[in-house]
Amino acid sequence: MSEPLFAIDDLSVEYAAGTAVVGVSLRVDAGEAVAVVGESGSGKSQTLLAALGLLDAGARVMGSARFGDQQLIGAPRATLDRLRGDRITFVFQEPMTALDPLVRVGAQIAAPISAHGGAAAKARARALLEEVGIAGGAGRAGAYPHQLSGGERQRVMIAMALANRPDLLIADEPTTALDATVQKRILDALEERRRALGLAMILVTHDLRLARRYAARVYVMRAGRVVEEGATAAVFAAPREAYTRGLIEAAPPRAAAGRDEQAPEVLACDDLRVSYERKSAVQGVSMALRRGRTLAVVGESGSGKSTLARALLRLQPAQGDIRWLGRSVSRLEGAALREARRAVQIVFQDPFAALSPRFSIDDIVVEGLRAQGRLSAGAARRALEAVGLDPAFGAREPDASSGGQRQRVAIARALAVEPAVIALDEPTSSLDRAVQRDILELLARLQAERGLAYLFITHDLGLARAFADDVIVLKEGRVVERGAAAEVFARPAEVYTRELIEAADLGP
Amino acid sequence: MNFARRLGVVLLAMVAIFCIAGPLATGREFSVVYPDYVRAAPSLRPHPTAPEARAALSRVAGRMRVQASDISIADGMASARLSADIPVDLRALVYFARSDAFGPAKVLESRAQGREIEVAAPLKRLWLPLGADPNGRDLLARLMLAGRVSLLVGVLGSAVALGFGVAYGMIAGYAGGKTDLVMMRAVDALYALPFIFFVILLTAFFGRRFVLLFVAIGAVEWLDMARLARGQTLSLKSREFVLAARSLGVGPAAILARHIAPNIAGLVFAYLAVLAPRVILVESFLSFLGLGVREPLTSLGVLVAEGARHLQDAPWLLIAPAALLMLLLYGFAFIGEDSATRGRLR
Repeated sequence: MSEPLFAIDDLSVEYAAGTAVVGVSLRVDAGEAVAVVGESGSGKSQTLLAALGLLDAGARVMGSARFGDQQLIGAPRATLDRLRGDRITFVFQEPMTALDPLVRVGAQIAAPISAHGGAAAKARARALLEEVGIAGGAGRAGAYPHQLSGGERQRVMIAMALANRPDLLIADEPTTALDATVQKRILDALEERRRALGLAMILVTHDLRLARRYAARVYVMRAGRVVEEGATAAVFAAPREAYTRGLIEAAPPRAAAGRDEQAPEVLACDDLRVSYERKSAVQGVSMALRRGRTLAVVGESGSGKSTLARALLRLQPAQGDIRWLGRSVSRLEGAALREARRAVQIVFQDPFAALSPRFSIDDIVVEGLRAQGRLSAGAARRALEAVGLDPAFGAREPDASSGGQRQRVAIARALAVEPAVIALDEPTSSLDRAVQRDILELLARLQAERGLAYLFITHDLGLARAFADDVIVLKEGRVVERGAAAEVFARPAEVYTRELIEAADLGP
Repeated sequence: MNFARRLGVVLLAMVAIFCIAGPLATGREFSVVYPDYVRAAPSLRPHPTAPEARAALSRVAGRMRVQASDISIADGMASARLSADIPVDLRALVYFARSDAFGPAKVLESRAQGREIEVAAPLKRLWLPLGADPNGRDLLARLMLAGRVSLLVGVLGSAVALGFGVAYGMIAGYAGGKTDLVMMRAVDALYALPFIFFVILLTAFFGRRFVLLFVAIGAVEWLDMARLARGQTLSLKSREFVLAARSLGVGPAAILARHIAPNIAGLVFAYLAVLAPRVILVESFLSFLGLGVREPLTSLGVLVAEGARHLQDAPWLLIAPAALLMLLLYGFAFIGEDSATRGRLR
């Protein structure tokens, strides 16, 4: 075996509060692409940040990390500075915050070049913009970050990372914040440059599909340890660990099929329009959701999915007719509207933002009942039990619970008022795979038991395919395609839908 | 808690204890006038001093219409020979006890048919550690009173601004649309009103009253509070927990009280620490102009104004209240800076 380019050996990271990484070893050879996968909190990022001396002073790092023959752990700051940004570079998750908003992108790319003594930095920056495939190429060097889309910003980040022709690129969830279609294009561009430059890469991700497509070897991490490693194909073909199998098989549960297509309409709208200031977010959408069925609304971010849901719930001013339980509610106001609201409820994507801070779980769950003056003893207990939470949990505050638990609380809160429809706005996107599956199973069970109708907003087409009876595809606030989910996914009529489906299926 | 904040809390606690518990310790009335000690300098030794006792005794003798000679001050006693053309009226000896310097006088010896008497009187011991003001009142007691008034104005004035401003801002922000527009333009219009002119009008119509101070200060300072609360409410009302509450059928009043108010409380209280010293300063400014509290009540602004007039001959009259005002403002500023920083971070 040849000398590795970068090798971490028995690395541990300890904080006062506990241990984040335990005895992790991994190696990358020159020109090789390696993935580190695991759920959030599994210590993926911590390992690499620790190896490169990027953790703050609160962390105690032990073990070894070598780049070539340079030991990095305990190396003086000056040595690390010479390597970082020059021989080893990074691409982080957040393209929105990683760029200085007041500096033109061309100058930002040129900065690390001049910092490490390169000449003709500006010309090089323009060339790099071409290489990473930004639309408009070198001409965009004069643009400010806010003039670029999220994907373009991430391309700029990659251009910065490639600027000094490094030996190793560390990409930490480089496309997690981006839409699936953009994700694929950017990683393809990155992979193309990587091969052209003979660069080694460590791809840190929670998404196994990315690891499978872009890495030759994979390390699976859980709770600060490497639980499985090997060639990507071998790991995917025959995972040894139950945990790895869980990650690979995290396909969503199949919802009960063959539901009544003639059930009464519970949520519908005609020619719904929403506009902000000058921009229109939803442009004439009509839809109908029947009792006991699930309607998925899919599309990229910015396509108006969430706005549509909020408008349907009368949480957002809109034009057009909206009907709850067959009754037009577009003109209801004040107390009459509040009275009608119990029919339709909503569960949001981010369970941390959706629960009022400083409330106990019990208070959160029964808030709707209290508002309607129907609060009875034991209501909180029943609501928590319905979503599979221990009633004793109710005395706690949301801060003391996990994302999955919070999402169950949010569901319990919606259920407590016995609605006919629940709008699920990306209900599982901020959760880990395993938790995601639990929540989906819960939702499917509740639907079967109570005949609930779901308006299922998602960007995840795999989820929509498995979970929904019907689907509508939104693009720029318009419905571009609609129909039975099985039909649409099997035979998409629109180019846009096909693109979405292709981008979602990153597997081989 | 960082250092600045801790320092601020300690400073404020010291000022508050000084002003509130201080009078109990000295037991001195803030309105008592000591004519003998007008503009007395600060001193740690008790009054009267020997020269003061001599001068006081001469004054007493003058009132009794007698001549004083052989004045001696020793061991807490003053003795003197008083002589006159007619027998000394012994009832006039009460002038001794009435002065600030002496206790009741006793006749030790009477000669020449009472035309010449030897008298002795114990010296009173009066501490004026900060001296006395131009009316002969104990500056320490005045200072404590002024501190109490300023703290009260600071807290109550801010509370008025807080209560009204936050409620107004939350309603405007949550209602949005035309209601918001009208309510906030009213605030803008009030901003344009010259403050001093407004206060002069108030005092002209209603006279100088203590309550009026709160009204005047509150009427101006709530504007900032309303803007702050409105901005926060605007950003909170589109947050998901508020949307969830709305979709549950919770009414606007309950949403404001249960979901929005607790979440802007942190920032509002941080701002309060900035507002309170500003209110104190405004009150001091009004009092400096003579539009503030009325004698014999006083405030730090009044004391500073008075001190400034005697800067040449009695600088301590300015130094003491100015120092207390400074400590008070620093205390609030330290706390406010810190909590404002953390408010922003969240």
